[in-house]
Amino acid sequence: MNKFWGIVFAVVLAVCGLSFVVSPWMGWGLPEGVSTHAVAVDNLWYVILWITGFFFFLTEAILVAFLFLYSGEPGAKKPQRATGVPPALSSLGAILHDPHRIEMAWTLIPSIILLYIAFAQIGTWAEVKYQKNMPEFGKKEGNATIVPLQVDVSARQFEWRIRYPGHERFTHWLKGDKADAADFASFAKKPQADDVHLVNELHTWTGEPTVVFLTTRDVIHSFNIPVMRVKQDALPGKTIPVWFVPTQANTAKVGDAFVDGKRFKGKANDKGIYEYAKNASGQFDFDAEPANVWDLPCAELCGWGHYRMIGRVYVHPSQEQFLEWLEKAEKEAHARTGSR
Amino acid sequence: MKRFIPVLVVGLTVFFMGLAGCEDTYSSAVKYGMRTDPLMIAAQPGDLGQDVYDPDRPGLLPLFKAQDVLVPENPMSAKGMELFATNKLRDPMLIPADFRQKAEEALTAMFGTPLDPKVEGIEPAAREKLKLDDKELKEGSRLYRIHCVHCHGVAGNGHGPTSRWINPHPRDFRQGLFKFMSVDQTVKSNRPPRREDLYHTLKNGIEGTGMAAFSPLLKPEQLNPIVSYVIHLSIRGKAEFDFISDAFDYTFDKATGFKVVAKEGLEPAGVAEALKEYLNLNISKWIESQDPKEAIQVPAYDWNYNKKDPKQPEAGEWKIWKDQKDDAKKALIRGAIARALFNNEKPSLPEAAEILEMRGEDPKAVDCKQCHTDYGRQAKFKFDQWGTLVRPNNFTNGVFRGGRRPVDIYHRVHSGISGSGMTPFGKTLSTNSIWDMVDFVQALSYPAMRSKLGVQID
Repeated sequence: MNKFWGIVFAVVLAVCGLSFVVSPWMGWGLPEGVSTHAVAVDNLWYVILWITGFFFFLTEAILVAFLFLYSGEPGAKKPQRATGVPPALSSLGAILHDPHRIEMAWTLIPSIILLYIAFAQIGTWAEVKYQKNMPEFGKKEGNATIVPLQVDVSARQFEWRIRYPGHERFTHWLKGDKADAADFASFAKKPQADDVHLVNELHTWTGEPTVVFLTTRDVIHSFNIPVMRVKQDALPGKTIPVWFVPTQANTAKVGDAFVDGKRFKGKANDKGIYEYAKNASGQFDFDAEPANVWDLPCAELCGWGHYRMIGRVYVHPSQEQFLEWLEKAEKEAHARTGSR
Repeated sequence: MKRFIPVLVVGLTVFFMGLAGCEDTYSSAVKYGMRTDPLMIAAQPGDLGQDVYDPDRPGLLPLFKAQDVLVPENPMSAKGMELFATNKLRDPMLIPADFRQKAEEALTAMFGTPLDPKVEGIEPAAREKLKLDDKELKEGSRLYRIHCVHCHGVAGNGHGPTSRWINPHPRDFRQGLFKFMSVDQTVKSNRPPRREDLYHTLKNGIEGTGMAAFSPLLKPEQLNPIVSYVIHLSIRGKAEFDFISDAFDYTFDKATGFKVVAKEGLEPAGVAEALKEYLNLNISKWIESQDPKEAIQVPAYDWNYNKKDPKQPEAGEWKIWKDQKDDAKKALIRGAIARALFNNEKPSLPEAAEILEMRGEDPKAVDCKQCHTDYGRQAKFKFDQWGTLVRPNNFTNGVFRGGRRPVDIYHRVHSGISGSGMTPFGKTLSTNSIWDMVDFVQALSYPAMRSKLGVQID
């Protein structure tokens, strides 16, 4: 009867183990990573998962074993204190006989593991978070001049207010002329009349960096795109840059509209960036069934509406399509006719 | 015993979780009920109290009970019970009990309950036009309970549990007044909005307030039922409002106190019929608002405008515009026109003065500065028609609650903002002047744009 708790913990451990094993088929794992950050971040995630998973099962199994072995009936004789070391562990006798050495062992080994994790992640952290590693204006990459998309995201309860540069201004920057560097740098802090303002819609395109300048108008929010593996708290009073390079697209042009959630036909090049095939009419091929809806959910409890502070990320398959969308969005945002 | 306690804990937890239920609709026990809070019948927003620099503290406005007006911290307390004595506020609790009971029954018969909302007593064509069929309302009610009720309240009264902590206060739909509309308010005032206006508010939120955007979280097939449900709450509230304010005589005597009697000819048995009449009067206004012909017309800027004789465009403003060497000079003149109208001052450029003459517009009749003091930077809080305090917009912030597109601001200048003190200028100002004003107020938050218009605000 006293084995009841032993059984309970054994069942819990078995369920944990089973769910761990079946999780890939059940879709319980990480969402698909669609940015260049994803590989490094996911690797770290799995390293930590395996290390902690191993120790979890080890300690829980020992607990279950003890619950079974030492569960006596009330009134029964107390079990003898073990004086010897089990044969399987006799080589560790020197440590196991000495309580002080046991304490040292199970302090030092976790410390070494934690230090390993701490150092292993420095590179990834620096790559993603350090401002000196952030995309620059007009960086040359082979024949191309890379001009990142700059977006100002202002979090507020309970939505994301997003500001893009105007179409004309942005196409001018794309020339990569050094003379535009100052204007480019002024985007984050100085709104302009030709900026395009949207709510809850973050548009970008694959293959090139997007830099988000994150602010908040009230409390702490957290800018979080799970599929891009980016997460950054928005702190009142600060403008914090966040960057990522999408590797896949999810937004298709259907007629005149731009529709998200599409899965494009194509394959990754050697940099991991997807290249999408065009059909005979020169249009990108995609599956009709929506599968790639990428959310931008707030990741810091910010009030009663935190549960529904969810934006949407639209990644266009090419810079041209993004510019087409930007032009359309600008016309709508600066509409001088019509009612609604 | 050792095992009993954990089992008891787990059992109780499961039991209480079960009590919460799996439904996301209202319980059948929830009813709208007759309103108990005072009605605002202020003719002018300023009737309810003085303009102040500071907003109200949580929980004071709008009034929950008639007696709250006497609480010393309440901004309305300066006028106190005088507001009731002069009929600017009406206390529904003073209505005779038999009339109140009949009204509650009739309202339930006409509008149902939160779980099963409906609209009875109107033409089927009207129900179809406003999308008020039972299925749409039921879905709208379910979504409203999940997303809206905690601010806007079960009856759409703006008294939800969260509302106390939100300023500006969540909208009270029951007066049938909505702020940000594209319906022409110069023809008649306080007209209901179009469905598109409510949809726009849900989709884009209201920047600068607690009303957040519900897109893309909710799709059009979810937003449209909520629009229908909001209309349902509004017409229910307005029928109740009109009945309480219109069907009774309220008198105050120093000796005998307040007395409320039904108007001549109204008996408890006739309450249902009276409510139906009020409802249909209101429905006809809503139907009229949906007509695209009633939307605000937004023509483009007319460089050939000649107010005195439209058939002779060459004799109009074009005489001045054609002499300007470039767009930059035109922008300066337009800025001068708008600034003169805004501040009620002489235009700083002679061309601007000439054009204002041609348009026959007097800055005295516009004078935005009297409310938007110092371009809004020193504006005071004023009472609105819902009995709460709101402040004329500070344009230097670049926040436009009704929408920041130029056409949205055109709507605001043309037809004002119902319920607040923003009056319609569609009849006072020509299309060109409204566009001058729109570009002017938009530029106020951008230093670079201000210099293009030649506007100095410091």
